[in-house]
Amino acid sequence: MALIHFCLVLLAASLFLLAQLCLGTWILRKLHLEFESFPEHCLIAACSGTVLTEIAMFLIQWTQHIREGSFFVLFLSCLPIASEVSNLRLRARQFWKNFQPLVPVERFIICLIVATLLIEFTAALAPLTGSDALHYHFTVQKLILQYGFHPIFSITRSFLCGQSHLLILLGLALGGESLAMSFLFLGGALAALSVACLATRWVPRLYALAFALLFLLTPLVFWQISSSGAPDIWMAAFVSACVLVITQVHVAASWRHALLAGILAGGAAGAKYTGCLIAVALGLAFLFEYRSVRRTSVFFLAATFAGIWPYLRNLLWTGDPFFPMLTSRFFPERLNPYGLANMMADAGTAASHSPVQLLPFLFYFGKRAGAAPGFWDFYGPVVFALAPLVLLAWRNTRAWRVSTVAWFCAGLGIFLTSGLARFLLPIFPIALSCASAGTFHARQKGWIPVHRLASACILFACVLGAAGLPIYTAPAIRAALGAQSGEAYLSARAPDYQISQAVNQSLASGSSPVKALVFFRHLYYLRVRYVAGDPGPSWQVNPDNLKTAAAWRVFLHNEGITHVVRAPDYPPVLAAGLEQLEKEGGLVRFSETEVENFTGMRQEGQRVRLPVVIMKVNSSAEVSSPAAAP
Amino acid sequence: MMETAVSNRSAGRLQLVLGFWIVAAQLWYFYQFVPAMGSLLRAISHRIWR
Repeated sequence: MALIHFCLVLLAASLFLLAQLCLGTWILRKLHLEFESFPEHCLIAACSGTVLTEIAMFLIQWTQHIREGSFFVLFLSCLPIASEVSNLRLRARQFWKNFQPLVPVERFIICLIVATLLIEFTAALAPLTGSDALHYHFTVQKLILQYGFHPIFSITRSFLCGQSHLLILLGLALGGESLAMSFLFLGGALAALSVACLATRWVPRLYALAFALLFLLTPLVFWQISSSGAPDIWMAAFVSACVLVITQVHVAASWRHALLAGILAGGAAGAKYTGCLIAVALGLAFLFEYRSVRRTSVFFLAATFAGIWPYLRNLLWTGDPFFPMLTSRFFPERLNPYGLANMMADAGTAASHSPVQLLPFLFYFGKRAGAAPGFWDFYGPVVFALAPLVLLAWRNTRAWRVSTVAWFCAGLGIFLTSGLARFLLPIFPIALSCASAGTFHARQKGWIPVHRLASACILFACVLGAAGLPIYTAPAIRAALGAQSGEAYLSARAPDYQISQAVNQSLASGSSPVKALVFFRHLYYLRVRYVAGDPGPSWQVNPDNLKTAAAWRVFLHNEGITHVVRAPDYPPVLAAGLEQLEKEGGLVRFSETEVENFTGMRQEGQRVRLPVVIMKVNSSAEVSSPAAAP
Repeated sequence: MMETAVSNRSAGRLQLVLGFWIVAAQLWYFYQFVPAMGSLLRAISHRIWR
């Protein structure tokens, strides 16, 4: 059964990729743009098709017919298959005709790439356990699918959901969680292809393949592709495709090139707030390269059209396109300081960064000081170790200029605004391709010991990644292939899963409508209506306004909350008012269960038993208690 | 002849510096990240033990 599921999802993901490929090929044909290399054509076409699909999905949300609309979007994106598949087949045939036979090492690396992709794809099909995915990447899309397209203030990060999240929405609407995860996996596969395409501009095929493998075996990348449930990896594919479009122009870019590059940059800008910085860096690279204000304007107009949608949504709903980052400046009366502080700390904007950290940061060597590490910190040492070779290999050619301007300007922007290395992922393929050029430069110069050391460095990183990948993905693969039940896997691996199940068992079975106030972070597996109450990640709950039992009564009444879940305690900043409400009889004990949950960072594997107490809101106590008066 | 010898010597020095950098950068990386990796390794060993 699990194997059939695996095959069906693989087939569906392949068909989706074919649809995006054909849609992109149709766009390129309409723009009269040709890319000689077939892999580059595939990458650029798939990425531009996906950006268009995301825009269509965004517009469909406003109709509130999201599930039907998703099928309509899929149908529309499949239409070009009929006209473009013969074109693609012709290109593929041409590619194979001119294909140089593979040497044994290349064949071996390709086998490793396929095996790595297969492992990552299988792991991606396991039930969702990624922390941020359970908090908002998937949860928000599930809520939109269930209750319509609406602002969700109780999950502040819902406003951070960009256009790439619409692939999750599309996957959930069309088939479910596995399909959504497979769409995210496609982004990773395309990003790996982009490493090879970018590197091929400077190095022989063997090096390009080796660096594509290194990319897939980088811990941060395999975490992103397989189990994180985050769509950021698509940005890497969009940015690389944009760089390829800008650099593949032989003489001067036409407005058509500017348009296509702008659409791809817009895809990155629409995915995440830091994507705007990357799009600006790409625009600067375009301007610097072609010195044409008119064509750069076309670039930025196309980027705006392709990536403005989430910002427009936030502007309409909150007045702040970068909600909640500008709210303190423009709407101080609407500020939830707890929510903003939580968001700033998570995005790294609250921390100060020394200029000395800039160079290591740009070369993927930055680590958040004092914070516990996660997979998001592990890019490996290759880019930093090969940095001098990159500088020596640098030539004053278009490919180098565009790549370095995009890499360093985007990196500088991210350093100044956030300083978190994980936001550098979209430009990681560019950095790796430059590192490949550095390695090859050592060989060209005849520096045999240096070349051997560089190769050993790459090999060592690959071996470490290859050792870590099966260990990291083994439980997910067991669950995906049915060797372990999904329930047992989630109980052991998903944070807050047992709490969610305890709430579901107590509240979801009843016939009367239920809405719970919950204080835990990972909400995806809840099957009842809820309001997230932790003032850190929930903008809706402002502790400054909820200090007394009376204020809580009004809040619970206004929100229609019927139950409050305490697991194990209320957040300290809210505890006084809620405990007072309990004493006054406004909350009466409804049920109590004991569950096991993670404590601290999930990767440390520390678990504790904790009680889940569900309190029923006693609205009749409002009348009897004198404190109920507003 | 002499120019070639000088250029070979400087190329050799450059290679020495590059080689030193590659090795030192990796050592520095693992020195910086190994304490950080400790928690990951603990998690992995915990998972294997389970």
